[in-house]
This record gives sequence, C-alpha cells and structure tokens, in this order.
Amino acid sequence: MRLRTFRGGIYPPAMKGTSQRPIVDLPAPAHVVIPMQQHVGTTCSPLVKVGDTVKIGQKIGQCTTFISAPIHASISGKVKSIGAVDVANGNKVLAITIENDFQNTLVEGIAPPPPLEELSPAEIAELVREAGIVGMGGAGFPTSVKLTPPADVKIDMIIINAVECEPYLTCDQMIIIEEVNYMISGIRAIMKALGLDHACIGIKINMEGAIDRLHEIILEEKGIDIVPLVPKYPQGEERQLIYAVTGKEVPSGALPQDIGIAVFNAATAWSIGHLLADGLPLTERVITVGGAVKEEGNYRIKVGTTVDQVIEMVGGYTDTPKSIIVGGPMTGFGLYHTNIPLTKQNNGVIVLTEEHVKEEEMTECIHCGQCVQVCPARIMPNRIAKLVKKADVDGLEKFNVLDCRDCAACAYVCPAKIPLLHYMKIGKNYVNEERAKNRA
Amino acid sequence: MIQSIASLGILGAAFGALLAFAGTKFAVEVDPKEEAVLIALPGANCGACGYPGCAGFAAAVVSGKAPVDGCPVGGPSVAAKLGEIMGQAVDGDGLVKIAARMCSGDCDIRGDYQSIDTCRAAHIMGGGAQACAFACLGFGDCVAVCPFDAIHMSEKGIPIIDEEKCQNCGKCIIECPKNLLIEVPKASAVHVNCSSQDTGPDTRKTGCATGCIVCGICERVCPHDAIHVVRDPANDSWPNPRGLRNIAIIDYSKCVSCGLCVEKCPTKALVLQEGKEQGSREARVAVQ
Repeated sequence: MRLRTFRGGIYPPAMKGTSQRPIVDLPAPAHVVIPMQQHVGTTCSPLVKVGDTVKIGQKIGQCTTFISAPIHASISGKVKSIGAVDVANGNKVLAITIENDFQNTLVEGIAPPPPLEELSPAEIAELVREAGIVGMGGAGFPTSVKLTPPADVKIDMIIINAVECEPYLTCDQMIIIEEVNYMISGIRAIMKALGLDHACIGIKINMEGAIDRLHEIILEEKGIDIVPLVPKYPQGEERQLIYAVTGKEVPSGALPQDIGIAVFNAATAWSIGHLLADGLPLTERVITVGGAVKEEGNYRIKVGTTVDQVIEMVGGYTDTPKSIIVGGPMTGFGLYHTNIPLTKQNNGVIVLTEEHVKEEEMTECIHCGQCVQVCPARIMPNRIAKLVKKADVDGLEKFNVLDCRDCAACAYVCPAKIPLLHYMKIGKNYVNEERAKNRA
Repeated sequence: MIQSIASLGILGAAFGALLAFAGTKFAVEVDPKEEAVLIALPGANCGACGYPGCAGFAAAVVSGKAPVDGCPVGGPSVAAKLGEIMGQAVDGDGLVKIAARMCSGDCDIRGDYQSIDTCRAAHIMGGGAQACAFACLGFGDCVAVCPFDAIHMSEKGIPIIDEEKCQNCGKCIIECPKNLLIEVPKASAVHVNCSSQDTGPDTRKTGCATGCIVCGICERVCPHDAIHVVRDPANDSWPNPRGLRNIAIIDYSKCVSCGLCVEKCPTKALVLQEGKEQGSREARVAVQ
C-alpha cells in the first residue's frame, strides 16, 4: 500500500533519542505555578484567595464563556500568591502559585464516572469540560467545544492525531506503547460523544513500538483503523493530517468541522481515558525532556511545574544551554528565561546547545523559491516577507497570510537564513489588527 | 553657424507657439480655493492626514471630505487659515502639540531576543525581551517612520523627540506597538514618563525604579486638579481616551506645569522638562 501524505513539507532529523525511554513519574515539586489560561479562549478568574488551602483536583479557575476550560490544582497545599507571571510564549498571564504540603490530599467527590455505556453524548462533553481537558498537542483548544459541534454541523469522521512529527518529542509515542488502553477508551468516548462508530488513528510509519502496539490492539477493537503516514514534517498539523487521511482540503478560513471532520490529539484521547478511569481532572501530563540534559526521557509532571524544576529533577544541564524551548523545536517557544510554568498543552522541554543553535546572519532573499515548494499551506513566504517589510496589509490579505499554520518549514529550508516564520507572524498580526479595526 | 542658429530659432518659436496654444486650449480648471488651501499647508507631503500628500488633502478639504483642522502638522495656525479660506469656524483647544514618550526604559531585560530587529517583530513574540510588558522595545520603529527626522535613539536605547523638529504628524503614535507615544501640548513641561498598566507591586517586580506605582501622591498634591490616578477606567470619568488603567494621567487643559507633582513623585515617573514656562502653585495655597 502506498503511504499517504501531503504536498510540500520537510524531513528534519528526527532526534528521537528518547523514543524507547519509559515514562517516569517526576516527584511533585515544592510549589507549582498554575496560569489561569491554559487554553485558547478567555482567561479564567481565580476561585481561591491567597492563604486558602487547596486539594488535588480542586477547581481553582473558571470562566463562563463557551470556549474555555476550567483550571484545577495539581498538588495539595496553600495558595501562596496570585499574580501575573511569564508563560512560555512570553506573555504575562494571571497565575496561582501553590505551595506543596506533600499530603497529596484529593478533593472530595472525586469518583470514577459511570461506565461509558451509561453516559449520554452531552454527559461525556460535560465531563470533559469540567475536567478541563484541552487539545494537548500544543494548541490547547478546549476539547469539550469540539465534542459539542453546532447544530448545523455534522461531524462524520474522527481522526486521532498520533503523528508527533516534530523532532525530539516522543511523549505521544510512549503513551501509546505504555498506556494505549487509556487512549483507546478515550477514543471510544469521543466516538460516542459525536455519535460515530468509526475513528482513524493517523500515525507515522517510523514510530517504533507504537505502531506494533496499536496493531495488536485494533485486532480486538472494532471501528478503529490505523492510517500509516510518511514521516514528514508537518504531517501532524491538523490540515495536513486531514488531507493525508481523507484527501479533503479544509478551505481557506474554514475549520475542519466545516467539512465534517474532528481531529483530536492522541494525548487528549489518553487524558479522556484517564478521566473515565478515575474521575480526576486534568492535572498531570507526559512531556519529553530532550537535548542537553543529564537524563533525557519522557516524564509525567504535575501541571504548573516550572521549567527550572523539571530541569533540576532530571539532573540539570550537560552543557551550557543556548536555547531552551517549550514545545517542539519547530513550533515551540524559545524562552526568555526558565522560570516558566508548564501547562496542559506543553508537550516538551528541549535544551539546545551551541552545537544545534547556529547564529547565522540573515542575508537578502535570492528568490530560490524553496520556501514556496515546502509550504504545506501553499502560500508564498518569500512574497509575504517582502509585503511585511512594506507593511502592505491589503497585499498580505491577498496573499492569504492567514492560511499560515506556523509550521516553520519555510524558515527551515531558507538558504538566506531569513526568519520567515517570524515574518509570517508579523503579517498575520497586521491583518488581524486591520480586521479588528474594521470591526470596531 | 548662422544656419544652425536660424533653424534652432525657428524650431523654438514653433514649439513655443504650440505650447502657448495648448496652454490655453487644454487648461485644467483649478478651484482657486484649492490653490489657496495648498499654499496655506506646510507642504511636507508627510501623509499624516491620511491623504496622498498636501495636494490630496487640499482637494479633500475643498470638497468637504476632510475637516479644516485635519492637518496635524500645521496645527491650530494652519487650521485657522484654512477655516478662513473655507469660511468655517474651527473648533479645538488652539494648542500647538507634539509627540511625547511615556517610558523611561529602566526595566530589567528578561532574556535574549534574536530575530528581526523591529519593534513590531519583538512585540508579537510575547511582548519582547523587556521584563515590563509596557516597556519601550528600543528598535526604533518610531525613528524609521518619522518623516521629519525628529526622533533619535538615546544611548540608553529609548527614543528622544526633538521638539523643534516634531510636527505632530502622529505617525510614530500609530506605529509604536506599545502605544508609548502620545500627543501633548508643546508648551507643557510636565509629563508622565510611564505607561505601565500593572499594579504598583507588579511594576516594581520588573526592576523599573521609575515606573508609576499607582500611589496617588501626585493627585493629592496637585493644586489645579490636573492629574489623576486612573485605577479602573470603566468607573472613572477622567479624560482617558486610551482607556489606560493603573497610571497617572494629566489633563493638559488644567495643568499649568507648576512641577509640584514632579517633586513629590516617589519614583520619578513624572518628569519636568527644563526651560519651559511654569505656572504658579497659588491655587494650592488657596486650598490650604
């Protein structure tokens, strides 16, 4: 069978040295910093005050809008402070700092929900919403919103994204190898919530161990298929995954649900599975710590553990770090400093040294067109960079800068070392600003 | 020799006659008002009014599309002239205005920023490397956009505005991603040199010793009720066109630049420009 894929893309070195390292539970840190926004949507307002005692799983942040997810305490202890902190993308977000009392007391009323057969689709969505589950591949879109599509939208296909196409990251792979049962029960819950009896798992052909494990499982599981895909970047990007699996393209400016498709990350399904098993809200996740640290590997952390703490717990750096990235090296955020809390949607901490971070001077565009060839969104990064320099908002709109999905393939191939992704982001900022102005 | 003089002379005469004929036959009617407006305008062609150059603005004024006080560079004097030409009354406070910066650039740097060196590029990367989310990024987008060469970067890396060159075109005000530049009366000597909307303790945490810490001393000492600390713009009727919070805001229609608030400000977030006329503090004496 010919492997499916999409047009464009790149083949960066995989660097997946941690791909067979079992998931290790990191000890709970002395304090956690829990930002009130760990999702796409509005910031939650704190439900606790400084000095309050909180327990594991207690809801400490909530907001009333539809596109949002509540926030829960990941350790038990005392609320030390509430104030703005820096988060991975550089912004300042209101956060609650909790000092650990190491009692690990669970909040009252945590019990496994009724078995899946007894739950209605609306109940599943409500459970997922209350547990604060968001898209765990990086974007952090509230999962309950995807599970309750508007009345005029009919979802007829579920795709589970187990591609994990970024270099270094292996946490989804290890989740499949070690805890695939949780993922499968999560997929079953998603299927029930959307009223479908079929789902596909998109996975890269070179995911050692994970593919075999999935093949074993789906022999028994009816209605779940595996779609092996070319190990290309950005195969795990939603639109490229949809194209590879179904051959359909999501139109410019539309959402996958507009063509009847819902995509969920493997780790999201896994956390829904955990929720169904023990009823505990999302307070832990698995991340990959890779690069120049003593013990590279896949670790289960409490939400709100800071990058500092994680790096200390895995034994510190092996070399002077040049760049520390939260997320994958392609789409993640380079940090200004390491006192940054890790949230529900952060899937890795990558420490890069001089060897991997080359400071090369940006030169003029030589019009080679490589960025256009690799762009999976089929836009023209070279032209857009020029329009950004001229601040030509109409031109940017005409060249569909908003179709860019921040995959960074253009910047990766650019022989002139132009930070094209950054130009794309500025371009999107120009267009969004203009649209906001016109709306006002 | 004579031949060439004669032939060139004839050619010249012929073309001259042709041009004279074309000049009268194909003459473009220009509204005398439009011409008068164009003459009254500063002629900088900066485009700050939103029209393509002074001629475009003049046409728009005459056709009634643009207001007579629509030239920010000309200020009240040009507005008065245009009002006279167009036979309209001019509103406005009649003050000559310039741009002023609202940041001292004193906060800590929280990490490295290495990419495109413009303010906008740094701003979209989580607000830039400055510890304060409202701090000047120092790449000089305002310098690049200024059509009058009136802004230069200081050694510290913050923009200094040359008051003599600044024509208040407002381009830098629009360009600054942090909204650090505002329009102030040229005669006024007292300015708020901070635009942090953090609370006092959060402003201190950024390492900036000269940020507004929302203490309110300025408000209490001001004899003219010209400065006020806005904490919540939703429940505050103080003139605050930008909807700022947690910051002292001066009402320039009342401020006489006496400088008392500058003396009392504990963090020196208020600054007094030397060499400008200062008003009296008598009103305070009267209150006491």
